Amino acid sequence: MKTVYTKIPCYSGDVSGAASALFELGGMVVIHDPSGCNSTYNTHDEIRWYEQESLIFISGLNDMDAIVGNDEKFVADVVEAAQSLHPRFVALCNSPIPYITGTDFEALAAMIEDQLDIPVFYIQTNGLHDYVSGAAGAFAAVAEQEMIQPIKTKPHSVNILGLTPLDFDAPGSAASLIQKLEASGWQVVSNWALDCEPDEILQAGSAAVSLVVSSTGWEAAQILKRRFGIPAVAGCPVGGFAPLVIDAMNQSEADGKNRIPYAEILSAKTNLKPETAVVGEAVGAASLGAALALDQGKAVQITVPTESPAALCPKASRTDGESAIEDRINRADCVVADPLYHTLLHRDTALVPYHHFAFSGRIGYDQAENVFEDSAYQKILERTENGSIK
Amino acid sequence: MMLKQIRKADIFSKAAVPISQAAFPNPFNPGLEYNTPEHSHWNIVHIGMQLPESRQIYICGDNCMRGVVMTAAEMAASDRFAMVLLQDQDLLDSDLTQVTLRGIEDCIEKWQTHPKAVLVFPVCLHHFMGTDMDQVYEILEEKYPDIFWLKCWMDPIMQKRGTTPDERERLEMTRPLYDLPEDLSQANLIGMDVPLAGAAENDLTALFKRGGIQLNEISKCQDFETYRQTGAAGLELYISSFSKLAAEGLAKRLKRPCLFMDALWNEDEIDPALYALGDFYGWDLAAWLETRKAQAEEAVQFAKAQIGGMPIAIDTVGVLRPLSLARMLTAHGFNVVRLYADGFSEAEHEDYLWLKEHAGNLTICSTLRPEMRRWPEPKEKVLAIGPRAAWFEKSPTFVQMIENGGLWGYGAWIGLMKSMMDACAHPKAVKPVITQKGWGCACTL
Repeated sequence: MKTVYTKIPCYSGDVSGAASALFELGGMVVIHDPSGCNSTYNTHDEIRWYEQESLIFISGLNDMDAIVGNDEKFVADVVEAAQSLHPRFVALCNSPIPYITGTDFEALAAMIEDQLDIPVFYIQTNGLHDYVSGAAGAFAAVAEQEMIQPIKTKPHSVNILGLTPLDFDAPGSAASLIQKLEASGWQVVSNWALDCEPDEILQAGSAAVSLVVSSTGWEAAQILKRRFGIPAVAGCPVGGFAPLVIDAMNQSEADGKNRIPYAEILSAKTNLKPETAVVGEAVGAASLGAALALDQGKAVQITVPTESPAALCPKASRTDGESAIEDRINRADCVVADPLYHTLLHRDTALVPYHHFAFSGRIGYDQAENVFEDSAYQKILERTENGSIK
Repeated sequence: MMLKQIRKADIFSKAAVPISQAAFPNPFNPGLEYNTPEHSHWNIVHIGMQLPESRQIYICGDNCMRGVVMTAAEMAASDRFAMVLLQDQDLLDSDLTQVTLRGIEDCIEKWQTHPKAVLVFPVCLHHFMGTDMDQVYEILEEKYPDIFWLKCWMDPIMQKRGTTPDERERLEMTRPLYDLPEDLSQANLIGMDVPLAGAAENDLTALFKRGGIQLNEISKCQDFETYRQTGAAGLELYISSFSKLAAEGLAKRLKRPCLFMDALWNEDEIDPALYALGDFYGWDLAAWLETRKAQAEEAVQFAKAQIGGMPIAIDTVGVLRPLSLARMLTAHGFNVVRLYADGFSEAEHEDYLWLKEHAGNLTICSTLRPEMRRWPEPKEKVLAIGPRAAWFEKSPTFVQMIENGGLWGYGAWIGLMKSMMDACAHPKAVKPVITQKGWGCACTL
């Protein structure tokens, strides 16, 4: 069975993804769950919980309430907490039991919204998917909010979508990315949503382009395109790939079309035996892979173990299950991946560690690299070329 | 309805109440639940890993799995952990009994070598989907007779009105014990995660040593067979009420006496428990007890002179019977100002009544109420006993312990006083200590 794992952990779950995406936006996230979701999230999936306030709670669902459908209690508890803590919005998340009992969350959201004068919305989680799905749903729900209104487009301005510490865990990642974009002449309108100002998101309708830095931002980007005509570019400006991302943004601003600039670079080399493999979330791994391919002139294989829209995954990269991942990555000589993947590597395959919070959480977090900094990227590049750790 | 304007001072009225106004045993209305960044307590993974030469298999969705698989990873025990990740189709278009069975079989095959025992954890979903776990175990036991199968659950949805997953797990962990002829020179301590402190700080350690009785603890068993042999012990003891099911279940199965040595702090509570133990073994404890009490009293007076009127906060992670401790400290003149607890057991009623009358300064604070996310830093320096109190008090002056820290009886007075003075003398960084999962377990962080 491909869903059996004995060597590596699973990625953060969808509920954690939703909570992470909304962490800094001043809302209240309520997970309809008996116990455990919040603890798992704030221990293994969230680096901000200790120092930074965010209103994320569980409902404490019990068996009888689940069976008889005591929704009134859920509604009353959410309303009581909101009236006490004054969030800007309320987001409801589902978990396995309410999912199989068919709890109508859209109705619950409407019932709660009737009693509060703030937006209340539902994010379609069920605890069975990974963080990409939950964070994508959360960003999409934000993008649909009426508070974001069309404003006159600012030339050369950009929304950054899909920025959470689950994918960008090294301190300073958001600042480095913003600095890089500004150095290229782009003004950042909004950052969704790490080290961010929630009010900036209300201005998102004025951006000329959306830059999607992880799969978690793609769905929101499509909504912003539908609502405001803002085209999306998927990619992280890292290493030698950075100028291509900026070029794609310039072109998309001019013609209004979506672009995925790493796709061509990676597909051009798919026939060669890969010397390097990169494992991770689709946009991040593909961007790093594209940079390595350009800078080394070698074939790079991408392996995407996380959920992702098909459009964002380089050809044949989406890989499900421990055994399939093991088979695939060991075709390369050197693998750039989270250190916990070392258990899958064969003796002659080298590992270049690249910490991914959504995978190994707090383990090795002090080794996290901010790849938007050229020095960090250079370190990975050099390790890939020379000093791979066997 | 518009949002009601609430004065800032009122925000905690449902989350913190003076003991004089606190309802018993549930001081707070249930509502949405907050979870602090403090994670010192042991969860089902930590507890199960104590079983020597065992491994664990979980069958659940990604979100539930993440907490347990990362627990194992953080304690460097990933090689003893396997998982079957459930997907939508497993619930909507499959037979979950078959999915569970095939998943477990695959885990065993992938491991290549067979562990001596496997703890299996189906989840809430298995209850709701009507999974036939009896059939699963019947097939597994027939196919893998060399493996001892422990039938655990990770079903928190049942825990508010019934048995918790860790209570059930502790009971399952007693099943491997052999039914052997009774050996009165041994006793079993059932269900404690923290090893007992030495004789100076734990009356039970001191008395069993004095009486020449070997006190068996699971954490001291090197291998599965040694653990199974502890079935010979002539007495089953337990200290935490969470171990009641396991200890009494084992005692019933093996037809042994069972003693609850509740982790109490006051003379009128400790003495009867010690005399009951003494009666069982025929020990005359009068002289020993007199000396022990004098030493304990001296330790308390010495600490009181050092600590003075410094405010003290207590939590239920650090201490098994917090009201009892608050009463002991208050009776000795310490200034206990806050107790972090979301509810009490019926057995604590007398301590509650005593404190209501004698501890006017004491406030009971919830740890779960959503308002507690905004609990303010206190203006004064507070000595915290327990990691959760340290979090809420933002206090570097704290005693880090869980489940009484291995202390018991008058020895506990001596041990705790020493720790309190040490905490005052050596403030420490809070975050790296209290965020570590399963205090006392191996930790890779």
